[in-house]
Amino acid sequence: MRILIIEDDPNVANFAARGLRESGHAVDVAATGTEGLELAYAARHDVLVVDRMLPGMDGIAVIQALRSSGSQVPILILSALADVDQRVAGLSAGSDDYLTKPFAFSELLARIEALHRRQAGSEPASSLVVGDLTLDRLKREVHRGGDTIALQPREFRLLEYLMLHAGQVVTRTMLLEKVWDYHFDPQTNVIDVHISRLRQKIDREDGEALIHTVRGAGYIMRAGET
Amino acid sequence: MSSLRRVLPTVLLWLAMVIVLLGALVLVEEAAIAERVEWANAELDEILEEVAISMAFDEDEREINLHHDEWPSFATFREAYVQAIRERPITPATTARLVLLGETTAGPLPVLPEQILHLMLEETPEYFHDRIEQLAAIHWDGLESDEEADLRAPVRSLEVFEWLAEQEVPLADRHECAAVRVAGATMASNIVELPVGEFDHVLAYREPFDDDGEDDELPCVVVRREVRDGSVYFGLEPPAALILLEEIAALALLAASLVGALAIGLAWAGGRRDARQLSAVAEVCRRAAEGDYGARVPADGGGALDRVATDVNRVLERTETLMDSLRTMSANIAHDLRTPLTRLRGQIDLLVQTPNPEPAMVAAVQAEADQLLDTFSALLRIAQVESGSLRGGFRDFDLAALLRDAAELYEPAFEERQLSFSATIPPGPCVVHGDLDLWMQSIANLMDNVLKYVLPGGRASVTLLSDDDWVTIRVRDSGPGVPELELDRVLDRFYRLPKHRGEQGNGLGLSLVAAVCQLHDATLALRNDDGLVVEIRWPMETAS
Repeated sequence: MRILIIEDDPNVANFAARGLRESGHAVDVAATGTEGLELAYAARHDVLVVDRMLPGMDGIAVIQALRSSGSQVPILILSALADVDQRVAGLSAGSDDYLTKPFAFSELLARIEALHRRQAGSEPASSLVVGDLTLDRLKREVHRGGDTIALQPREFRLLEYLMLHAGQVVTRTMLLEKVWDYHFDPQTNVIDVHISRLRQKIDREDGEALIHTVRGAGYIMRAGET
Repeated sequence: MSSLRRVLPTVLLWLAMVIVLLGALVLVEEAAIAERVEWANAELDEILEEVAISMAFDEDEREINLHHDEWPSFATFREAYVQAIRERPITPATTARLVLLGETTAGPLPVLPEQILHLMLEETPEYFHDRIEQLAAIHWDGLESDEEADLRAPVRSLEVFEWLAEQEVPLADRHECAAVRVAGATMASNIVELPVGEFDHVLAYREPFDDDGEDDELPCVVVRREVRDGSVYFGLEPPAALILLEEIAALALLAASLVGALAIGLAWAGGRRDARQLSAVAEVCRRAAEGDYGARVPADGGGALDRVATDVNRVLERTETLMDSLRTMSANIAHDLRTPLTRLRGQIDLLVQTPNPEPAMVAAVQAEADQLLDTFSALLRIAQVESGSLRGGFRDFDLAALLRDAAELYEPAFEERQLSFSATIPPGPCVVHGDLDLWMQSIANLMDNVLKYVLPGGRASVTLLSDDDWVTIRVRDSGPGVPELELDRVLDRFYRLPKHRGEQGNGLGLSLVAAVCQLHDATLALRNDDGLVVEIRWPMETAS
């Protein structure tokens, strides 16, 4: 993936850039909105990471300029402003995701990869498959190896999200946002317990585990491992 | 000088009022007087139609009547008088009345015509001759004729004068006054200071009726009619209304002056007070800019600036509170984060020194760092909530749905720890106005505490109650509760009960809940009742 980071704080920019490069991505960095816009027009990027507060042209203006020029590139906003108004403003300006500082790098990476996946695939399929697990989004049914698995509505949503992002790290925060629609930080492992219940339902003793824990980051749904 | 500018509008207003009042008064007065003058002239015309002057001797009611066409030359009158007394001599028993102007008589006569006295002396000397005692000189008053020399003689009968003056003379109608001048001399008059010279009408004063002081001089509007060899004066009292009006006007003028003086005084004093208050505000602001937020502006002067002063004080109070909490917070952060940061540093050092570190070791360092990040985020969140700036993000949301979602989210965790959990939430929505995410975070923090501190086998519940006055959220558990002494402090940042120090978490959970409640004007109360009961009460008027 080729990523563009537009961030005026060199600490944050370097920290993010290095981490992303070590994860195997190509990273361009710009320190002002104008410079960032030039780089965005000059080369094709897969994901943009834009800081909201930039000297001169601010993040929102950069996004609006890109969108009105027809660019569909997925954009993630970084900001120290966390309240609802700001988030809504950021998203309605044309960005696709919003991450508040301070953030953990793993969170940033997971969200960037999720954005890329969303963009790369066109219409999400009505039926998702990981290994021998299938999820029918229209009929709201889950099957594994010929057996039907009964899930609570929330469990279904959780599995659906994991499968939509199969092969990508999904953080607990992302799950809270997308599956439960809330933005907050639980101090305890509430999400973990939901995941373990889901595992009990979809993993049989003799079958392979499909939901894996990624230490310090979150979870990943993947076939081909035990 | 600025206080002069301040009082100028009041002064001008007062002047304008006075001018209007005076102008109105003058106009009314003119109108009333003109009416009287017209009336007086009409009456005079009527009177002069009839008898101009007559003398009546009351015994036999003889009368000498002189019509005004025959009016007086003095000679005419004298002839008539002489004729009258020749027919019947005056005796001490004779009483005489001098009747002037027919129906209207003037009297008692303070000034008896000198000519009549003189006549009496001449024609009835026997009577008067014995009565010459003390002499009093009566000065002739403006007599202009050739007979002046003859007539100018000391009149020796003051007694007669007084005697005649004492005679019963029908009283003038109370509303009227009159005077007669013949050949330049006043024959009779009950007008004080009879005006002479040219005039159309004049305000004069009527003599009091008698000496016992019951009557005062009363104002009269006097007109004059020239007749042969003399003039007749006639006056009417001005309308009572006018007199009243003049008195009212005088009072009003006095009152207006007092009020004006008071208003000017107050405006000036107020101006000075306002100026003082403004200086106080400026001074307080200057000190605040230098960092002293403790100063306050006196706000009880009673002036228009009290409002400003109160607002400024409120701003200063808020700033002081914020500065204090900022200081405290900085101190707390420094103090309480030093330990985990030191620990993290130690772990990194160890990691650096270990040639092939176990993944678990690396993960532990990452986890510690993440924990610190979480703590910082939580601190920032609390600061944000406490600053009040998040009120702009308030929306309507369904609190019942939020609690149901929270219950559903936490239920597996409760089950895993063998805690029985119940949620009592009435069906249907409970719409409130606030920050959805803050409330979810608060409920989550309370649930997290239950998970952390209640031992397996215990119970927990969350309840939502709403009536007309309050929305109540209650989270209770069967855990160890909080020692009574610590109940106050447990809401402080980083505060952990001594036995729980070192456990997972950052000690900020309840602080955030407290800050969120305060932001929404809700109350937070903790008590022990077979475990901990956390109760949030949100008054309906702020909740919705």
